[in-house]
Amino acid sequence: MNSNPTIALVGNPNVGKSTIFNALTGARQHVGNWPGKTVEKKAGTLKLGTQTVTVVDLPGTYSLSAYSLEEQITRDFIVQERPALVVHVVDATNLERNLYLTAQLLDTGTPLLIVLNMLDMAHERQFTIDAIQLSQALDGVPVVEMTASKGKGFDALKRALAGVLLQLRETQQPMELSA
Amino acid sequence: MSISYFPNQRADLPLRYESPVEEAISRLSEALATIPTLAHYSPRWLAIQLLEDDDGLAQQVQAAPGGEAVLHVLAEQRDHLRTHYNDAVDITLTDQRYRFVHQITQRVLTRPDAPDATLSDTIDRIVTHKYLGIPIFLALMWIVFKITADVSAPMLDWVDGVISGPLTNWVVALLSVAGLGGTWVESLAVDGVIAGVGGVLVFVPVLLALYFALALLEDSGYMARAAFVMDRLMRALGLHGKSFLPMIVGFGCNVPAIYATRTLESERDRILTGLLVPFMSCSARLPVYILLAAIFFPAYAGVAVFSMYLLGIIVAILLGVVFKHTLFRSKEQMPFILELPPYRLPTLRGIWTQMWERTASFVRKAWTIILATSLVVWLLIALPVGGQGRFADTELDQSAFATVSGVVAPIFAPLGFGSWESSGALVTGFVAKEVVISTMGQIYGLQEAEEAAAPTTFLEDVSGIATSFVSAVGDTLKSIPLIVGINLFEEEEEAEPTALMGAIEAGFEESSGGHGVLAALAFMVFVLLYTPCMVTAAATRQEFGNVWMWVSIIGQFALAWVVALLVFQGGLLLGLG
Amino acid sequence: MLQQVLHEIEQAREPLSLNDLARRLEIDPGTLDGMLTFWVRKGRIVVRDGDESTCTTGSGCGSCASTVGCPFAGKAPRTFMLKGEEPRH
Repeated sequence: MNSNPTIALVGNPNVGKSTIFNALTGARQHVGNWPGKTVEKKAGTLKLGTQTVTVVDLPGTYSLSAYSLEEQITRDFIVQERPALVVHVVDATNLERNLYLTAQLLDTGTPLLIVLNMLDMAHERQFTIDAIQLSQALDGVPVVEMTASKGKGFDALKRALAGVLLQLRETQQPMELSA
Repeated sequence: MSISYFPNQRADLPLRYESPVEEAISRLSEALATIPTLAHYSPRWLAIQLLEDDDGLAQQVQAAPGGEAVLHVLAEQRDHLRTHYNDAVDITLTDQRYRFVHQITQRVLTRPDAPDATLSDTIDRIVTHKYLGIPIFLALMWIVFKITADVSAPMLDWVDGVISGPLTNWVVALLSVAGLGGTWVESLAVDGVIAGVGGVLVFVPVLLALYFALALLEDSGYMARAAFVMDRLMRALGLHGKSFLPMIVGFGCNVPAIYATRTLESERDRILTGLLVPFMSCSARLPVYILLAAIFFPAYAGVAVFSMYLLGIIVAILLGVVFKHTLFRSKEQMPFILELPPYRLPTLRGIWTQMWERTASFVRKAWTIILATSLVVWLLIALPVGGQGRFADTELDQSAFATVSGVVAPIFAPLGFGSWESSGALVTGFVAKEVVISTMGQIYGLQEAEEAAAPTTFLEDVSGIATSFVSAVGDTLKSIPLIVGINLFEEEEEAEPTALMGAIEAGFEESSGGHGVLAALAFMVFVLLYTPCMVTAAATRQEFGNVWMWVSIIGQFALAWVVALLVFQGGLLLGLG
Repeated sequence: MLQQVLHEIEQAREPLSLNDLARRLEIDPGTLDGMLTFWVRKGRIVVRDGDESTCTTGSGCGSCASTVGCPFAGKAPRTFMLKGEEPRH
């Protein structure tokens, strides 16, 4: 049994999820297909201090309604495999549409972390997003600001991941289910 | 870049629905929590999915021990919510989720005061304007044909000069070296291949210019707007919107445009649009207009060409309105929502690719369909009927081609082009519109006075080609400011009309009793309106069946005849030409 | 919000662009796209994607010699329309 915690990357198509996945896992990736599906599955490992974390890049999707193959894979992974943490990559230039997926992720009850990506483009369009307010509005879900395409925000992301995972381990240890 | 994190505020229920929904969720979650086999799911999530009508999960619940009781609770709660909100439950939940997201967005996102005022929006507001939209579309089209006609003219002259001059001479020289001079082989090469295929290839510069302009409009994202604006007009006239996109495709080639009608929902609308698409003047018809305009309206070539395209659109729209009130009566059309692609700066690479691919397909067609047709025409011209001619050495008037064409010629007599020459070109033109040009080149090419050109050496030819190319490029560049109406240069003396052009002019003057200009105009209109090509007819049959193909072919012919008649006889009555 | 989207389309007198509709409803165009997709899934709206307009025959249209990539075929923009018209076949 692999005892490394799993982090799942989730987000709409074209929000920079792959860039973040590649930057986090570097060369430590393996690419295959989802069992019985034609959709590509990408997984890799990330070292956070002494801890090794498995990172899974879930297919890009706008919703979790299980109409399309991508939606189904993403939804099943979250509710059945139960990753330790779901990292939702959000396109800051298209906040409202992206947050719809956030709302559905909140329904699943999964621990969540939001990456507010593509901030450079949002700023270019003179959008200001109050990350603190956003975190508060989502009842305390951590929000990390990034511009992944320019390599900005990865340190903050790694710190946040380490912090959240540590906290989750402390609070959820007794509730962990035997598989 | 920072982390915003409020670990202590994390609540059990981050997203809350309105209380009736929350109540249903909690009732259902309670029931679900009693089933151990479903314990790996979060009960709240499962409850929401069940309320939203997730069949797969409902089946899992049903299969679980105690599941029936849960489904009973589910049915109860769904009924309750449906009555309360007077709407399907999944719609209610989705709607509340959107509201939740909307509220959050309003709280956390600050946008500039006028978020709409992006450049793209501003441009859209002008080019898709209710009243300005159509004039802008027409103006842009006019510029396209002005570019096409003006900029390509010098290059056209150059290519024409090369093909009919040095190239022909070299082929003749080569053949006589091989001992074939003056034989039927020489006739085949010169009167069949060079006059036919060469006559069409001459128009490559014209098409390059057209494809350049079209690529510019398409790549920038404007074409989608043009379709949108025209759709609005069509809808205002009671026609199906959405049909203009196939029509815009039709400006390039009618065949994919026929297939593009598949984007329409109803069979009726697809057939109706399929009948109208052929009136969109495809790029193969352009050489015919350019050639005749250069002969008969040299000063107004751009206007003449533009008028043909405009006439095609007007005929399509009018005919559409007539059909809509007769053959294709149907109920009120549903409005639709169109996603306009964002504007972007066209890339050189994108434009080049499009120009190249389209021009390549034109050239390919010249070496296949047009070559084949030219050879058949050559054979028919070479075959003597009666008279004392021998094969490949017969009087034109006594050739099989003239005899056959002469039979149909009377049909076109009232239109001003009842000669066997133009009738023959229209008959073969059924294959493809380039063939009208190639056949004319073959027929009138033979009628050209066999003026003995001064013998030139190979080197003289090559340097002649080079210098005339340089001057053609110069003329092209000079013509660019003319497009916008600025004449920076002294009026060029009228280009010397070629012998071929002279022969065509004489032919039209003769067949129309001295009203060559009107006859040429009527001929252009006829070419615009009758069946674009065999392949379009085949596509029509494939998409809509045999009956509609014949309706299309016969209808187009009848319409072309009537409109050309109106142009010629109407012009005569008004004392024009 | 969802019902308003449907209502606005029903009331429309002429074709609208996605941005026009978003402006009328005062919602974000991206969100509107998501809402339209929802209605598509509910079967109330049909969406047509541009891919169908390409030259799909093997017959070859002279200029369109192969099945794929007729150089004249354009990609139609996505269109949404209310369901309720006669079926395609």
